[in-house]
Amino acid sequence: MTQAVARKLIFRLGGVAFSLDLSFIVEICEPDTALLDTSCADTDAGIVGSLSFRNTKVPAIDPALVFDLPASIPYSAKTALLLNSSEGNWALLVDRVGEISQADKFKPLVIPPLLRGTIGGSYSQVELFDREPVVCFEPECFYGATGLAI
Amino acid sequence: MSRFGLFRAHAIAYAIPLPRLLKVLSGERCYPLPRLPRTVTGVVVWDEQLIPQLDLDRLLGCSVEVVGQAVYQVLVASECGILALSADQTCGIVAGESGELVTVTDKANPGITGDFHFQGAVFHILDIDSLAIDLTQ
Repeated sequence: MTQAVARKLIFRLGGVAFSLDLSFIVEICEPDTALLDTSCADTDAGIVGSLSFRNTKVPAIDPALVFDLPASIPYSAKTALLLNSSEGNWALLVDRVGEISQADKFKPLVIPPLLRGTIGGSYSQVELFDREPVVCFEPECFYGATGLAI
Repeated sequence: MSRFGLFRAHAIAYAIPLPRLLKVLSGERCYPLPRLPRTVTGVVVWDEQLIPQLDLDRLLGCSVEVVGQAVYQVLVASECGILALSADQTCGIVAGESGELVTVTDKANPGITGDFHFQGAVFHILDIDSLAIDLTQ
């Protein structure tokens, strides 16, 4: 009997690399495959609209708004990661999807105390992957029971 | 005898007191991270540590548009931890006696403790602890 190995997906947003546990991902929608409806946007909460997914409207969240990252590409060119949560599915808009790798290839790094003040609660872990620092994306901070409390 | 490491970055020439100079890295990238202090341009990875790279242009009040990666990362020790400064050119380590030390009291730039005049050029002597404290403001 084989044991499931935890894996992570790398994605990029505003020039920054992020990692996301693969267990959160329901589906990956390439650009232009899902039309963003911006009529229900709430940018204070990072919600830029909704996407139709399996005959249901799901909120689309742009974490770049919360992370204060520059908008590097238009929404029509973004990839949507459909994620599960206790509140249902939701879409995470990212600039580019990279590779999938085993979780044990990521080495935890300590965030210097000098940086913790401005980073606040927006993320709590950074890891080293292939010599590059990668921010651990925490979906529960963006959507779900405790979402958008940053 | 005081000694300084001398460096140039864009329009800035700066001097680091030798006891504060830890290492000079060549060809190491600076990576962006979200929500960094406004005076930090990114982080450098060294010895599996994240080192904040200071934005010297902003800290010292220069308005130079920087494009691309610096050639060198100068790692310095502060009371608050290790910091990185970018440099395009290393100008050697020299004894204080080989040039002229001029004390500067510029309240607008508390990160500069003095100027070191050496071979016709002026290198700002950086107060590393003051620059580190600026990060926490």
